Amino acid sequence: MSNYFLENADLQFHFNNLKINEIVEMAENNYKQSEQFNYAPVNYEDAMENYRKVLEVVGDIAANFIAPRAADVDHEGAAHQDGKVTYAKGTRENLQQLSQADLMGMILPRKYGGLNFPFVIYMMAVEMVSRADASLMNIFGLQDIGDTIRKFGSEEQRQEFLPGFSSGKYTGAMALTEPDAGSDLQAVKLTAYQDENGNWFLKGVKRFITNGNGEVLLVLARSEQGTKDGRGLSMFACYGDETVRVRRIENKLGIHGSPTCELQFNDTPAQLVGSRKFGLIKYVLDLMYRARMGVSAQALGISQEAYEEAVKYAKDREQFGKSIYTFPVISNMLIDMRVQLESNRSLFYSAAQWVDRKENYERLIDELKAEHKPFSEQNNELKWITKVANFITPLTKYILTESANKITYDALQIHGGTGYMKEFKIERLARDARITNIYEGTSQLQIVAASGSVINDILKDYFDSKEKKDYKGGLSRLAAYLKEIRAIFYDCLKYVVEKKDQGFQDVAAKDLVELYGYLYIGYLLLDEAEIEPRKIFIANRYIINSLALARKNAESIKDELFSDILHADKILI
Amino acid sequence: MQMKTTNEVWVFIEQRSGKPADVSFELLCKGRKLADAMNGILKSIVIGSGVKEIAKETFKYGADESILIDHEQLKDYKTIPYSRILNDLVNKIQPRIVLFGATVIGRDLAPRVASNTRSGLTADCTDLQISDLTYLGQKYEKLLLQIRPAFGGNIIATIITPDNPVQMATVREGVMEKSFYPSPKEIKITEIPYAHEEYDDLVSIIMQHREESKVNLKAAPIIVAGGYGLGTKENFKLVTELANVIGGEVAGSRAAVDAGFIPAERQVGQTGVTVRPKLYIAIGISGAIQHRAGMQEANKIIAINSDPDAPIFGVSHYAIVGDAMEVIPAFIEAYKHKLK
Ligand SMILES: Cc1cc2nc3c(=O)[nH]c(=O)nc-3n(C[C@H](O)[C@H](O)[C@H](O)COP(=O)(O)OP(=O)(O)OC[C@H]3O[C@@H](n4cnc5c(N)ncnc54)[C@H](O)[C@@H]3O)c2cc1C
Ligand SMILES: Cc1cc2nc3c(=O)[nH]c(=O)nc-3n(C[C@H](O)[C@H](O)[C@H](O)COP(=O)(O)OP(=O)(O)OC[C@H]3O[C@@H](n4cnc5c(N)ncnc54)[C@H](O)[C@@H]3O)c2cc1C
Repeated sequence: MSNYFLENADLQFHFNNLKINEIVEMAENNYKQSEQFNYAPVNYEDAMENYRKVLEVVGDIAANFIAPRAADVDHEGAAHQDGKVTYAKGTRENLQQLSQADLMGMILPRKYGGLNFPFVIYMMAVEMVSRADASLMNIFGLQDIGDTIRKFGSEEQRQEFLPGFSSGKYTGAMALTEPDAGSDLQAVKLTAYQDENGNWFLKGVKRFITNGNGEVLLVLARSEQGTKDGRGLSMFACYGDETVRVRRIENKLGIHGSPTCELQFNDTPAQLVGSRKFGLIKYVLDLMYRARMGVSAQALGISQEAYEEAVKYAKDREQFGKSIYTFPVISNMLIDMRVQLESNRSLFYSAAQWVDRKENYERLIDELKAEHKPFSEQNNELKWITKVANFITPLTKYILTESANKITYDALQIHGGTGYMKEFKIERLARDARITNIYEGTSQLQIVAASGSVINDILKDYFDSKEKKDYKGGLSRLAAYLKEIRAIFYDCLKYVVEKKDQGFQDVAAKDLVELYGYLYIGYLLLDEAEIEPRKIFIANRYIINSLALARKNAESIKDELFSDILHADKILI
Repeated sequence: MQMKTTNEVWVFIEQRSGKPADVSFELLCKGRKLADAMNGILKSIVIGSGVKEIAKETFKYGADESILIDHEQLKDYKTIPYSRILNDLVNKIQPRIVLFGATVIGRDLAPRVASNTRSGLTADCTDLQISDLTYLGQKYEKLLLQIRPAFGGNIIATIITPDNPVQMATVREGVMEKSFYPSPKEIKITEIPYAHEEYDDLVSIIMQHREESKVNLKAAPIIVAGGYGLGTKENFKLVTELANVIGGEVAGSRAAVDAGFIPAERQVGQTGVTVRPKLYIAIGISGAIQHRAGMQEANKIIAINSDPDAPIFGVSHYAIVGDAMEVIPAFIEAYKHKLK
């Protein structure tokens, strides 16, 4: 019996090195929850043991139940007839299994039937589920919809919606996109109006809604008639009742198990979540932190599986009298994949902990406010954490999803002609990976989201402290390379800022964000290499490669590579 | 001047595989009014095999008499025997008016009969009226006015064919209203025997294979497009009706296609057809970018939508904010009476 948790050495490494004492303490109110719920942990060790056990269960279900069904799910796909959506048989069985294992409310509070787990642990579960069947993540990984109602809804709304999420009775959907509002959500038009008793109703169309057939929908709608921008939008929760019509589901390249719905709201009764006008500028932006991470976890899971398939195939396949694994070009590709995979995982679980910190500080401050206690110290901490999260979540999504595409394509290449055949898993992984850098904000939009923080050099103090640190042995050489990358970054930043050309800055943003990413990930890997010798290899290849890439980024910026954009019309004939 | 014709109005009743065409009954309703206006009588002409029931049915729509030619060799429409039968009948009885549906069959049959009997024919009429008229100093009593759009729908023409004793017209489906005649006459069927002639078998039908007619939206000067806003397939018929009245093609948005209101080959947009008609009427279509991409280069765009903020208004030349179910009938009415 395989297990996606126990048998994944790198995931084990991250779990074993988690230092989330602070997060767990906050989430468990200094373990006071155990007085109320007999299954709540009594101390940190107890909590970690608890998480480990649950992740073992997820690893087991993912490897032995979900993964064997994935090919059939992909083949059968979700179906749509007469306004009703049916999941593939395997999807239905998977969901039932996950509900029975009590895994549908991992991050929801215990009093609503949830497990009250830290976000980072939940992300580990999502990574494993995605590895087994990427399309299932699109239902399992929508738990943050419940969490958004928890954060911004009223107590009545929490009691109304959350237990259903926890038990698996409800699945959710996040309905933002419309035909004319994709990346630009300010253009959302779906109307929310009130009757004379103040009840809200929704009217209009949404498209590309993952699991739009779900029982509870979180909908971004225009509540302020006559407005045109994001400030006229509010967030609503409603049931997917008979007033919500699934007009069609899309016929997609991948993630066939996940229905992508076009929805029509016909005077659908809805409840305002939080306050009016804050829909986009507060709630959706907040939801994005977790949603971006969810998709990154999906990309990571797909990458892991593609890598596993590639190694296995390379070892089995013989040409010229030996296993292709022994050809240096193939092992070089495999090592590249492995290094990407591990550096991605380091970035990812670091980012997940920042999101956790943010969530828990927000919760703590809300509590302090409610108890009329001072909270300015915590507030200052939260401000800084939010700044980091604002940078690190889009960076993570950008890097992990682009990387998943590269890894799955290279894994397909290693399979030779076989990889192009539908009989092999790798083609599905390549198709499934393709969506990850599009939805929940395209890569280009992630760059936009991350670039402000980079231009403001928000991690300056952090990098300063890292530069001062003394790394031993071979690592000091790598530390020196990181210093060099940092110098290149400042040089480029200065160049971009002094040019005072917004258009140029927009284009150069990608290179700047990447440069900053090399630094952040590079230092993560250096620290890991101090803990585990095997990681020295990873850090080594990652940082040396990053230095080469950094030079290329710098050339692009400073050698006027982009000046031809002014003449785009002449080039793009 | 008094013409030497009778006061008879005939409607050719079209049938396929024994199933009567709706348009024929619609024409009976109109024919009844025309007959009344000239104190004449209304006859249905039924040709086929085993179609007596159809002949009987025509009385529900106001026929005074039905002429039935029933023979197994007439089961399926064939140009030669059908036109020969009608030629003979028209030459012999000299009706005042003969009406055909502007269907594939009607469009094949009517011109042959008209040219053979030297009758006047106007195709695709949107209205028919009876009126006394003076033309080039001559007085004509109770002349048939054949009304139809002309010049790409830019004008409404009234056509008269006073020099010909018999006047014929074709009318598209859905243009005339179909309703049961309140006081139907007693059934009176005059059966005329079919006399076979050797030319009748010049063409024989070996096999029939039916497929929806291929549309050529790209070439249509007028397109009336409906969207999901029409709500039901039933309501969508109004769009078809309007298209027929003004002589346009019917089209739709993808949502209308998905909902089964209209076949996929009539989808306009990014993944449908791109059209550049002189006139594009968008009804109940929100105007998502994928739809606009296919129609925004139309010369004139009229949009009808109940939502004043619908994006379609951003590309339309004329914006009508209102319920399609009220606006379309008003449109049809206005168009039909543009003359008065
Ligand atoms: C399978 C699937 C599932 C989905 N699920 C959901 C869901 O559950 N809920 C939901 O609300 N939405 C969902 N979406 C919608 C998804 O989030 C959008 O498709 C995505 O955000 C991109 O929007 P768009 O398709 O309109 O592309 P556009 O916004 O039109 O983008 C087209 C291109 O332009 C680029 N671009 C746009 N603006 C900028 C800019 N300012 N700077 C640089 N580049 C830019 C984009 O990067 C992209 O390359 C889903 C989509 C798919 C395909
Ligand atoms: C890959 C892709 C390709 C696509 N290609 C196409 C394409 O080729 N063509 C295309 O059309 N679409 C296409 N679409 C779909 C497009 O995005 C829209 O979903 C579609 O055009 C919407 O159709 P609609 O306007 O009829 O429906 P809706 O968006 O539902 O709009 C209905 C409209 O009717 C109005 N309305 C409602 N009731 C009434 C009433 N009683 N009277 C008057 N108005 C009323 C409403 O206010 C609304 O504006 C494509 C989408 C995708 C994802």
